[in-house]
Amino acid sequence: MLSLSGLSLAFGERQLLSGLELRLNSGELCWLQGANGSGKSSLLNAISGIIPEHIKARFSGSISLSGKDFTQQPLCEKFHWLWHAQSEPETQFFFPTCEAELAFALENQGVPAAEINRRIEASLEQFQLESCREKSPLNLSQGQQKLLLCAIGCALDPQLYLLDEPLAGLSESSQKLVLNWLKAEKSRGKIILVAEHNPALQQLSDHTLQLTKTDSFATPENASQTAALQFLTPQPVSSVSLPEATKPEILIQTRNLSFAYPRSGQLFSGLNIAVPSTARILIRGENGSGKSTLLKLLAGLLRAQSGSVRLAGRELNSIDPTAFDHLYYQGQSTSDNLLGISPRQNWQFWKLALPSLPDSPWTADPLFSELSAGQSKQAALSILPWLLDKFWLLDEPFAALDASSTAWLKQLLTTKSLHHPGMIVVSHSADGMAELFDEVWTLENGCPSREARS
Amino acid sequence: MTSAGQPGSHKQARDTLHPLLHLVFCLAVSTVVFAVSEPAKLLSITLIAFSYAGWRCEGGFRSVLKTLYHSLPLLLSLAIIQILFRRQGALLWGWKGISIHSIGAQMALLLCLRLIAVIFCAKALAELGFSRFSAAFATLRLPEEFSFMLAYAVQLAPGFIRQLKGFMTSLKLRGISPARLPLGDRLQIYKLLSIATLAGIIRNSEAAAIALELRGFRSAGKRSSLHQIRFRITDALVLAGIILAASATILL
Repeated sequence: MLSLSGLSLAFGERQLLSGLELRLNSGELCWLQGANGSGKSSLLNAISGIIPEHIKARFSGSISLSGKDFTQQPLCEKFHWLWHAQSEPETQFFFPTCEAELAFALENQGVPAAEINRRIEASLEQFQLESCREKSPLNLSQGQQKLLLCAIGCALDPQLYLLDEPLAGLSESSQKLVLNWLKAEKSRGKIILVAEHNPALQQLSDHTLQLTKTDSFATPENASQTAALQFLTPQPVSSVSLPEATKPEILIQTRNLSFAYPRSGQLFSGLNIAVPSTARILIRGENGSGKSTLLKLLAGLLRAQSGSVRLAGRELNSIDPTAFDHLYYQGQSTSDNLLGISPRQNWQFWKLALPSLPDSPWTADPLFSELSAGQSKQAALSILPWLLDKFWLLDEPFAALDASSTAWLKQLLTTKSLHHPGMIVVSHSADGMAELFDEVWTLENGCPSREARS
Repeated sequence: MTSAGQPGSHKQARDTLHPLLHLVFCLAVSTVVFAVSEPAKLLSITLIAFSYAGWRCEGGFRSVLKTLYHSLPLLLSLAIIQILFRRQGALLWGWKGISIHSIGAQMALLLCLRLIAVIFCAKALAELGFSRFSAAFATLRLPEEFSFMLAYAVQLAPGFIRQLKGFMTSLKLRGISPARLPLGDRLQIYKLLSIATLAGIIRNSEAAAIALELRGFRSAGKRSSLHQIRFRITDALVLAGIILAASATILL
């Protein structure tokens, strides 16, 4: 049994958790819910011991697993009992191959080589990652990286799983893989805590713990920080007064585009697409099918092996600042969409690009490292209302967002679709929004099959 | 099995030697280049380092030459300082107050060759991942922390460049071309990005440390290994060869 008793957690003057009590028996799953910044990840960090060992916070209370006091164990020994998959997968990989990532914890446990091999095979099969064994984890799609984190846990086979946003950015079939695995682990008596916004988890949850956001900055010096964090909450869609650029009929065109990652099979071969300036396209597909790669190719972030990408009639061979006259690309990894170390610095960089932007709305300057994954995502998205006249290339914009931010983004996309059409959105979470798009593309074997909307 | 010609075959061929030998080789070359002062010898050692780095690196000789190209501003700056400010030996060329002397030119050449050899070795070492550093240090029965520190240290410079490039990409995606901005704005951007890059490296180091500890890095108890890397007789012979060659180059 996992037992949390009188658990309190505070960062500076900000009390995040106070006297939390939780008991989970073997085979039970607890679903942690709450807005971005409400403390879901911090609770998981406190249970695993990252807080206070690596992240300094005021922490009190007791945590025990099967009667054993867990707070006394150093972080490096807790892997005998738990697996903690954090929300940002790319920062958790260190080795050149997925196999090495999977083997590392087992090697540290002294598991014999034959058994390590058996467990690696089984976990890769569980998450359909067999073809990724020799690949670099950093070359996987973000969805596949999420699955790899689950596979590491599966291979480790601990008593307790702490999973932070395991379903974010996963396709429907990948979500099923994770949910089936969790179901099986429950039946094997494992204890599972999951921080997740996706309602698909409801079917497995035995307990729901709703965390509320406490922006209770007590001291005067933190008052400005409160205002800054409040800005992260959804704002009404602003009107845009940027000059309307002359838009070509066909904005993006690919001719015989072929692309493959190093040491991987061909992803695209002879791809020909033409995207009008006012197109509204939703791209779906399995994790690893090439959705993000396609967006990167269209934005000039990746160079094709052969063929060409043309933007407004001009060949796009590499990342070109003049492309911003027409389009704005926002990638799946939040850190790639932010510049500087804080929201105010990020805004400063935006002001260089768009001098007509108002002054920074940030009255305080929290570091990005102090914000949760969802809050950072909100900070990255906060520029979109000022870029409605651009063609948007958005990769998984809904991932890691809470319900109110999701509603805000849906409202923004609706405005974009109706009044400033022109976007390609890659998303697994846009099911209720198909009417905003002219076409839905499903990527399979490097080829988009198109389903026209009425 | 990976057949010849497939992408993995080069990697397998590169990893035939025990990782300890790569550490020893790079250490030996980096030591020898500072102990030797004959230009011909130094050039030979630099060429050996170049061949070695080309063999070790994923991108082959092209990648090594690219690194050399990126290091040229540093190398040329150091060479120019040596050439202009060392006024010893015969006068080779002079114009107004500027002159080049034989010792200055020779020192510039020696310094560049030494640094190039070290850069090639560092480039080759950066190809060794944590697991192979770990195997190398395990052979010497040194703690795992050493291999982690070394593996991380050799990745610091490439990591810094990667992060800076990422920020430059983000700037371009926002339509900002630093080269076209006024000098003041440009300097401000570079200052902010350098701070952000350093902060990013520190943050990533912390994240990596957490991720590794969550999987038992530094835990007590005996470790096992999925792929045993034995120190074979061939490795011992190669090691002896490296030590002998390095000693001979210094002493003879």
